[in-house]
Amino acid sequence: MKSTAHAFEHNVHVALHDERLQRALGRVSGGFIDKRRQAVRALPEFEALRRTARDIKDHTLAHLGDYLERFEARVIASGGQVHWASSAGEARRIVIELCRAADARRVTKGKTMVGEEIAINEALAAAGFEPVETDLGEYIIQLAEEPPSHIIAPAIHKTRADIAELFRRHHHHEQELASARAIVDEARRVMRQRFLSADVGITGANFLIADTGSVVLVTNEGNGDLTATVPRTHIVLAGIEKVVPTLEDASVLLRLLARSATGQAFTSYTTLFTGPRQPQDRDGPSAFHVVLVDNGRSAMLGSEYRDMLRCIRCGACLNHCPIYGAVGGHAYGWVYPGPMGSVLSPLILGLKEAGDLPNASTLCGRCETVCPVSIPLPGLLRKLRARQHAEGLAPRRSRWALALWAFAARRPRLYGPLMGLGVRLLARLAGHRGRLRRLPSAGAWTDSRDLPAPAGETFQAAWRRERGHE
Amino acid sequence: MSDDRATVLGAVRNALGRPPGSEGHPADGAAGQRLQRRPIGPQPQIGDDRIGAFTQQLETAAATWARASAPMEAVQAVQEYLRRAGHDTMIAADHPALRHLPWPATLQPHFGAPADSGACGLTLAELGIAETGSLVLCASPTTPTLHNFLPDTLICLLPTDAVFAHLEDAWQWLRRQYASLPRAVNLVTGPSRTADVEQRLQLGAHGPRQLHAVLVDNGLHTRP
Repeated sequence: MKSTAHAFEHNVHVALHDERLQRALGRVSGGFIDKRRQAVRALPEFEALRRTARDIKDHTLAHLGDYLERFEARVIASGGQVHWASSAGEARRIVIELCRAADARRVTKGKTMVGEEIAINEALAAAGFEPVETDLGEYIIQLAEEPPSHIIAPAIHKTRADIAELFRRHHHHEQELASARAIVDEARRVMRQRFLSADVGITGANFLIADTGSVVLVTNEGNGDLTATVPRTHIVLAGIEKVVPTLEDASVLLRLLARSATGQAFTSYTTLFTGPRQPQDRDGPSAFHVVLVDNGRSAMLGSEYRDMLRCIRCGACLNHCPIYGAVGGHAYGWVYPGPMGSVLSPLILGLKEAGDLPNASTLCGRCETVCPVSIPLPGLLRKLRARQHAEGLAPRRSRWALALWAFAARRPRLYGPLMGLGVRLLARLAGHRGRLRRLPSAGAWTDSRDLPAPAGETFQAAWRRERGHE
Repeated sequence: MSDDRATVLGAVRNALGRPPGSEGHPADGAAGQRLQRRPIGPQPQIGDDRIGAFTQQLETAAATWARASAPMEAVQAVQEYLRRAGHDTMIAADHPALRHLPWPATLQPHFGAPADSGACGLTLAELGIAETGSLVLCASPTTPTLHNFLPDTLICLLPTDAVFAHLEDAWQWLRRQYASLPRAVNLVTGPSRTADVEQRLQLGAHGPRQLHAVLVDNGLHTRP
């Protein structure tokens, strides 16, 4: 998809005034946050698992080349093929070629975030194929021609009525789909035909196992397995950071993934795919391809942002982010929203395009607290802000304001009196209430809350006064 | 097909400060050692009653279960479940262990390819995992993967003594049984589900709407 991350301010404005979206966002906390909390409480080993998970990912990243080569060798040994793509464009080219080689028309897809990242649906459609999303959430937003607004619940911004309307229009009927049950049943019926008539199935991967050449895929609906089993060709799209050494290592991450994402102890379907169908098998694809996508990841590996490559895409940081909770996923303007997206998007798209995102955080730190692989997200956001400033990419207004403040702050004889003046002025404006209802040029802030006024004296002045008493 | 193999691996090694080819064979390094040792991370406590933990997790995952001491009882458990679920036919994976069960004349499963209909499916799990309540189903000529996903209702038999405590036990077992892993190893944990419509959980998205496990204490042999 085309990024609108540069228009973040506008996107936020739209999101905050979208009543339907605000109602939908209200459901996030009750759902994901409470369920995760219960799941974590029920597992005393959770913190130990988090530490081990961080170490596994750090070790794997430190030897990434070795593990990728081992994975490749094992895939080939099991009869599959591995393709390497340095960029999104290269990944698209490889997938299109594989679909042509399979003489495909209909291409079913499991949910893949790297697929969104490389905009594979648009490329498939442009090349004359018919991509069909099979995860219910992804299918809904495909019909709506919208990007996902959450990495594990892509259609979380849609109401039941929205979905029923989309189905009526696209499935050409007049029936009332009065319940979530009716909607799910209709999706099941419609999608069954598409599963069974697909020529190529494309899925993502939650983990790649270097030891066995297996691809681990986690779903709740079972759509990933039908996508990977019915068609003649199975193509797996995976970022290079998805590899882990062994199934034992994947077990640690699997124990964290579902609990962090949906609060389940384990998702309904966790599948290891290893190679194409074997000689006597009755089903399964005859060709098995894994496309390993770099697209900025090797650059992250060699930078101060390497920690970001530990991410297992659980979405916990989105669910716990007050900014995400206020504006939803679309406002971020690209594939990855929330704190993880605010780090990833600038690193993949560039700070010029996505420089607003690292600033869209209060740095409250909840994301880091809940991250199953302990990514220091606030720290990474801060580094991106510093880089944005150093490269002169920050908005002019904030650069000037900072420069002005820095000029004064380095001159105590100027700074003290200036601050004293400001503090007294604000205290006077606030009167006996001690709060400011309105403040010129800070309307966006005071529209929804009062600004507590300063106490009428600066800290330095208070310090001098206290010392004077001694 | 030409691709970016050298470019990507070069960029990765460069990022790690290791020029390509400088570190010898991967098997000699830290990666090779980890692949050989396969260290095990923290595991949830299961307690002594492994079967009790397993069936409890099955229930948490919205599956149902029954326990049978012998093949005859297993058949009765299947019959009883079908009656309650309102099914009168059943499509079973064509596996000798299922064929050789003492099916009564009134309940002869159809052995063959899984059908895309509202039917009930019957298949065989190789293992159970107590930690998660998962059934481990391996693709094979006699247990095709689509059997696990196409039926509306899935009944799954497994030997009680094939219930292991943790995920890692299952991996170890698979490595012992198979020189190379089956094309698909499905860890099935409850029926298919989705919460994509307003965060409300619905069972039966694209896979089975109901999952019923029958643990068989004696006489069920999943492997020849």
